[in-house]
Amino acid sequence: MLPPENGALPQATTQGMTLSSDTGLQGLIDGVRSGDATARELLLDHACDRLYRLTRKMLRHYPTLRRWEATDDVLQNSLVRLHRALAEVDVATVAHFFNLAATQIRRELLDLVKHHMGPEGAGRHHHTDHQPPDDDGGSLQNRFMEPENMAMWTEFHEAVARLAAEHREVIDLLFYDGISQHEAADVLGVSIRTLKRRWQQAKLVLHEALRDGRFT
Amino acid sequence: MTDDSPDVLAELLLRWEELFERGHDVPAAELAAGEPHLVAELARRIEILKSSTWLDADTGDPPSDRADQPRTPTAMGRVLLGRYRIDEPVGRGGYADVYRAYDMELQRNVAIKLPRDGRVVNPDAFLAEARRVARLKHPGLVPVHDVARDGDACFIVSEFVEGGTLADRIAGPIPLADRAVQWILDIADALEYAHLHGIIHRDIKPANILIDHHGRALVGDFGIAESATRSGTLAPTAGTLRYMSPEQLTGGGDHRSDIYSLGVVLHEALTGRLPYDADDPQALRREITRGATVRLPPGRNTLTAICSRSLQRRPDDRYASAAHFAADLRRAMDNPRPRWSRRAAWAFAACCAALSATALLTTRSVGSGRMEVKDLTGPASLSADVPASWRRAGVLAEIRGTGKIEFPRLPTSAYALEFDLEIREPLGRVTIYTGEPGSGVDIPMGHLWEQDREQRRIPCRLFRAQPLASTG
Repeated sequence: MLPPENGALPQATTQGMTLSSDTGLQGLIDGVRSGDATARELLLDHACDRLYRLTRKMLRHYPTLRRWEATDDVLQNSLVRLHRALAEVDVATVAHFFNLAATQIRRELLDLVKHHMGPEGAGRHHHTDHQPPDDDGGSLQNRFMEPENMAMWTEFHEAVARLAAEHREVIDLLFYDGISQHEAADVLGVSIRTLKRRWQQAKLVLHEALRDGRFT
Repeated sequence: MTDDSPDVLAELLLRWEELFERGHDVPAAELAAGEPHLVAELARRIEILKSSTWLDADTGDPPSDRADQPRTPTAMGRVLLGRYRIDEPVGRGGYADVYRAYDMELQRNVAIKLPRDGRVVNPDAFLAEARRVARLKHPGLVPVHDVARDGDACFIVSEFVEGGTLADRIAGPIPLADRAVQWILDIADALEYAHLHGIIHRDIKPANILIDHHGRALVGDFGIAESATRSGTLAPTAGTLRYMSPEQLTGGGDHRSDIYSLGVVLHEALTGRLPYDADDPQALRREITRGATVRLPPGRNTLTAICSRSLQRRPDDRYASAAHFAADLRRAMDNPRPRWSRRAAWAFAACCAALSATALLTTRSVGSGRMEVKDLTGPASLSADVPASWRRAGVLAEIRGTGKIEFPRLPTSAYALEFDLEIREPLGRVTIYTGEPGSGVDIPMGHLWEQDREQRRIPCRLFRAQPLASTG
């Protein structure tokens, strides 16, 4: 059992790595709150872009869907839904937005597997005997392999959704929302060191949740 | 494990990652030398974390699109010249891989560009070309420390810029517009410098633009590939299609190809998207040939104009130089909101032209100041044959009621371009004096040309404008 991350480290100042100075995300959030339609669109664009990229990542092992325009076809409905879901939300804080965005993105990715991968759905191409040979003497148990088919991805997304909030939120920010570690530290109001520690911890916990990274 | 083991393990893991990011893969046994009971668990966790990097990568590009990541980091662990230990692949160019390496002599991280096997046809010529590029010194260019050869391997050692690439920034949330413009401005300045030294990059793209910890953009990997290719030292390389200019598709191109590529980068930095709809290579090629479509958010008229200018299909319709591009970007940053309508600007320019022409011809008082113009290419004398285009552009001076003569729009690219002047071969620098002590402004000038009635290019003269003492 992995130990919980207790945050015992002193929290260093986040000065000098503010979100707004680097990426303008905070500026966008402020813009949204003050009714700036362009800022809202940009923020939504960012979330849609993440969904787009993660979908491509999931589909990279599916030759028939690898071409980008094919990905777009599959994605179209998901993007529309994500856009609608986030457009109606009153975004109060950066953390609030990213939390919602990550949840919606995860939901859409799961839905995409369920409804768009043909009659065999999530079970298609499901096999677990394709792990690379253990050629360097290490144990496969200690590997965290990238999911290679839709069933594995489904398992991955569902496992993330079941994680404790402290682990899930850092995966949401860094993996689903795709922001940098410095930005994530700023969003969570912790030092970069604490963020790195949480990120490591979250990956280890997720690895364990996925039966030592081998999926089922 | 004892009760405090979790904290100790977490600390050790952080320490391991810190060292790993610096290129040291320290074994668990060494890290936990004082805690032997934790070694096995630490080693297990390190293995898990090392294999979980796919969680950090976020582009989701299909393998065929991952041109910027080395696929076969065969040089890992190799020590070049007994000095540079290759630690980690950090990028992939048209013919070479880029690694983070550790200079064991000076004890610092460096970046090493190592051509892949078979890509360097003539090593000696490659090194000569690399040395030529290495002589470039500019704040916007990543400094080259060394160009060397170890057995069959030629390589280039340069500063390792911490902070990532523009590609990383674009892959995340869209950067603020002024930040993005400043980055492109930095790169345009660096390109101008390189172009003036006869070196063309030809592979400008976000992955080749590094952002340091101060937020400054630098051109990495400058020009080796293409300038070397031209001299026959490298096997031909395709470049990066998404950022290529139309003329590059057919094997042509000059310094204005870099301007086009930088325009694509500007568009992507401002919107997160390329100025094209097509994604697959064939359709993209067609669209590049047909012309880019600039789609910036509403209200970005100035930047839209700049972007469009840089992305013109015909090189002659683009900015004639990176300096012109940079000047427009600078102006856009200084004046984020247009203060005048186009018509008003023309009217103002016409007024300036009239004032300037009067000053030239009569040398009499204009407002509270007077102006004398000297022809630097001939005998120093008053001259009446200032090119009309200069006068129309208000190039000479804007005379304001304060008695101080300011040159807000002296031969900057914006106006030179608007009036069909093109900067060609550099002639050096021309000093523009504003009449205030210490207020001379050095403006890098090129050889100015204008077209005569037969549409032939004829050289303009260069002038020095300076105010005369006020006559009251």
